[in-house]
Amino acid sequence: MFDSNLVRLQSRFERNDFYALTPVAETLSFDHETANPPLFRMRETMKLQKSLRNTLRLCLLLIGAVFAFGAWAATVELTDALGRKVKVNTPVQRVVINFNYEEFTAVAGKDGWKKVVGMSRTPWEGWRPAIFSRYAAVIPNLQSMPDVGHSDEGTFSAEKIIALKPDVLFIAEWTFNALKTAREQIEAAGIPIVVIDYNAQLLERHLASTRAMGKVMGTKTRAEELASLYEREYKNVLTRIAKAGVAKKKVYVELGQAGPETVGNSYSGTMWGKLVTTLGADNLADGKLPGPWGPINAEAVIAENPEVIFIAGSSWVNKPKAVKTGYEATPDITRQSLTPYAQRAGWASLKAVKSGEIHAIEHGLCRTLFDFVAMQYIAKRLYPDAFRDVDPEASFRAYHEKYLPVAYSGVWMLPLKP
Amino acid sequence: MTPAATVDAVTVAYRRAASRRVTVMLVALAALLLGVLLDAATGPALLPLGAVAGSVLGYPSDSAVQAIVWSIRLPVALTAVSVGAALGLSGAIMQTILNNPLASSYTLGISAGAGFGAALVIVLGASLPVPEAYAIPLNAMLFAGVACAGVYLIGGARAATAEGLVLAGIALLFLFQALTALLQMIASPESLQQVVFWLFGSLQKSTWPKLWVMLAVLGACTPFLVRDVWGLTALKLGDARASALGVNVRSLRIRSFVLISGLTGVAVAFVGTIGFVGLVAPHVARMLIGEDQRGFLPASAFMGAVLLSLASVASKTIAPGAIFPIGIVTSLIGVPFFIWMVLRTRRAYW
Amino acid sequence: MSINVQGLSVHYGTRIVLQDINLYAGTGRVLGIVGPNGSGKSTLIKAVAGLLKASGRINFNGSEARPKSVGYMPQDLQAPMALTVIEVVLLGRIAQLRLRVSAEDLEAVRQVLQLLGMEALAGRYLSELSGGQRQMVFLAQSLVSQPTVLLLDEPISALDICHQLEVLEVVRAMTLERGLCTLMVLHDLNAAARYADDVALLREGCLVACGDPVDVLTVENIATGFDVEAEALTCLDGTGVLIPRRPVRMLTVA
Repeated sequence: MFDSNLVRLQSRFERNDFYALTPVAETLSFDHETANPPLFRMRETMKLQKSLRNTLRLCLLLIGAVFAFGAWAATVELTDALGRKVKVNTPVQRVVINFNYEEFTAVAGKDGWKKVVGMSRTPWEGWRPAIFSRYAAVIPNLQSMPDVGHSDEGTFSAEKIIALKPDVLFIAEWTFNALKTAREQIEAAGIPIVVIDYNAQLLERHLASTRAMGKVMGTKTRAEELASLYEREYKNVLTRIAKAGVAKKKVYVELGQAGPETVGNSYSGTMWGKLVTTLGADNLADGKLPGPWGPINAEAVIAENPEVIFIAGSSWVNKPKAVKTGYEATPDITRQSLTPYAQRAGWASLKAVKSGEIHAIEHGLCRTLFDFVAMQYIAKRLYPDAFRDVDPEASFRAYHEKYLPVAYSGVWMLPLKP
Repeated sequence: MTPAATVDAVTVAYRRAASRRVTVMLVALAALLLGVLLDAATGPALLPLGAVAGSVLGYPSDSAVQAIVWSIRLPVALTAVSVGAALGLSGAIMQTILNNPLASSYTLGISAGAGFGAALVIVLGASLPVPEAYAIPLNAMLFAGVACAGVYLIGGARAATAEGLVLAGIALLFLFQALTALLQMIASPESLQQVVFWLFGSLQKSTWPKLWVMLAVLGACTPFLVRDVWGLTALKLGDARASALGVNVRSLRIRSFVLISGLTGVAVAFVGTIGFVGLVAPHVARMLIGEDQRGFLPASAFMGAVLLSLASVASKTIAPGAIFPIGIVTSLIGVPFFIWMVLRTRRAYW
Repeated sequence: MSINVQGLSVHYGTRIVLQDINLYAGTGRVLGIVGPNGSGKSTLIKAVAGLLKASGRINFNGSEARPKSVGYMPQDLQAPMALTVIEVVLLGRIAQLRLRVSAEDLEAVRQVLQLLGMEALAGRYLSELSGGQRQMVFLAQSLVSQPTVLLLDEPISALDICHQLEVLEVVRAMTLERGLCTLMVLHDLNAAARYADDVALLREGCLVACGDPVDVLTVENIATGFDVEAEALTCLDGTGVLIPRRPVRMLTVA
């Protein structure tokens, strides 16, 4: 574009050599009035015009160079959580994101949401409604954000995503793997896909996901801060555990959503299961599940006699028997919802129940950027001496104040016995 | 009656039947085109009709619309048509060779066998050398063939009476359904989700390469059917009479079974088990056009295609913005429609 | 066309259905086959039609080769309701049929329908016809391929007396005119007497008697063959008629 302007300006000056100097701003109009200046002024004018012409050419070259350079700088290459190399045109104006919303908010800031044009509503509004409504109160476009569907329900729609014309799609690893056809269609439409993965509970993937989001959203400093914070805290926990040198404890984690009469899901090799194993404990679910998650037989739990039990709760609606944690929980409410679990048939004889090591913990703490808080809490129960000076609640409060637009409150991790 | 008048009677009657055949086919073709266009025009993105029409007809349009119409909606629409045709055709052949109005690849366990083959790969197959994208369709076709062979062998290969084959088919249906349920029990949650997709049927995973494969299989079956068209009609007279007329009944049945397992296997492999189309399409075709296989077979294919195309449109418009599972739609919409047609028809057609 | 059957035997497994049958049916002659249920009549017809494995010889015009067109009408013909009369009759010419029905095919159909007086029914579906009319359609199907042999298994058992006579008349006329060889299984002994040139009486797979109807359908043969006491009467025009009276072994009612 600038080239043709250059040519036009040049020809303008060629034709105008014997006429009065026309200012650069009026290049496109030809003034017939000033067509013939006197001859002696012509020589002076010609010299002036020649140097001006050269300067102008130089300016235009520089402008052109700046534009060209700007075009190169606009394409960013990054490595996402699965190690895929993705090219994204920054700055992005339209983003579609399908999971890990608190992480996105932490990395991109509240203002990052201005660029979001679509999301999967079910994994946030459906799974954590109380948390969602708090964020919706401070993020203007969140409440009416278009829904692109949820892969678990089979409603994930490549069509809707393409119709929203995003510059980038952030997608969780489990959606990426579940929908081969849809992702091919999206990539074929020219939309880059960046996979983020906090579910695997692997340090590298947490860091890669965080950094990738920062690179795309243009908030690299913030992302780097968060990544270093996480890495520091993560390694801190592991170092303390290494120094503690205590025997492995047997841990049982169960999703406490449907009430004590139903055995909820346990996890192995992912989410809570991976977390527990990383912390050097024995995950009761290992070897008992056909896949990465599922319910364990109630008899097996009693037979294994775990030493520490965590029941994962949250702020679900329409789940009256669930364990309640979250922004609106109080210690009494949480303990009230947890007690029926401790009173399950045969549980009174378990080591964990007898020693009071049965805890409620927010399910939304795992597979996030702040799961180091959960790690600290669980590690504190497994190795009390090594973690005497660590306060997980304080860590979580500090994280909220620095990186999240909603205020910290409520109960997120609590033992049954005060 | 003068000789001139009698010449007219037979030829007139024949010409009338032939022109009726042609009319039905043309109307079906028109309905098919309409179905495809409607299918391309509906979807979760709720694109305006003009934009879709422009993109289909080749006018330059928005890149997002282009991407949606050409890489998502058109493959779905055309796959609906070809799968519907394959299912209708295989149902027609099956009803003819087994002489049973309830025969279809769904009711006789062929689809269930194909579904079981697919589920087997999904649940157990991480250790196979072949990439999953190929292993699933191949195994589905393999087990469709196994089911067909089972129906044929259990039904009595020597006598191969229609009743025996139908009983064998029903037994296999229950067997494969039970085996699939067993797989569901031991499956991990992600595999379970995929297996359920197979059992519900879904057109949303259609792509152009899969479409070409489907059309290739349909095309490959055509010359065989053209050869056997009168033999199949003769089967309607009963095995004894057909044999006396010179038709090799046993080899005709075997050939037809091979065709059925190919058509059903490919259809199920790419789209999951969709019931009812293979059962209803031949009955509708029979009501409209009669049992002469020259018209009956293509008409069944057309009816199947129209039925599935309309079901695809319905599955997208029932809940605007989401997609209703198509297997459910074919049954919920097909059954009342079928009942209406049965009540309407004045003459017996079976 | 003449059919010469020599030493024909058929067995299903260990059960012997037909034993050493010797028959001869000449050109332009109708052979009626009668006998009680289970005597092997249908099996005999099927063996001649080539649908069963049989030992012994069946010669057609002296040679073993079976003629291309054999008009065979089995006992319970399945009636495909959704086919029209024309289509059913066309099936008789299946050996010559291509994807497009040629003018010759239609002409042959027309001729046969005209012969049987059914051209008005040409475009009707079988479901719209009566049982008798359907039987005529199947007869037309047997005749359309210009067969040299007609094998009819109980063609009139399900018909009313008018249709019965029609069918029998047509069969006899065709056999004479075209020099066919017709084998017809009948239950009605009087029909056999009137319309068959020769009659064969079977019982339990064996041939009891074969020859002229007057010689075969005697009171004694009926008694041995059918276990039935019959009475022979003579009509005003001289033809004989058999009236069955009572079964030989009566169940005694005390």
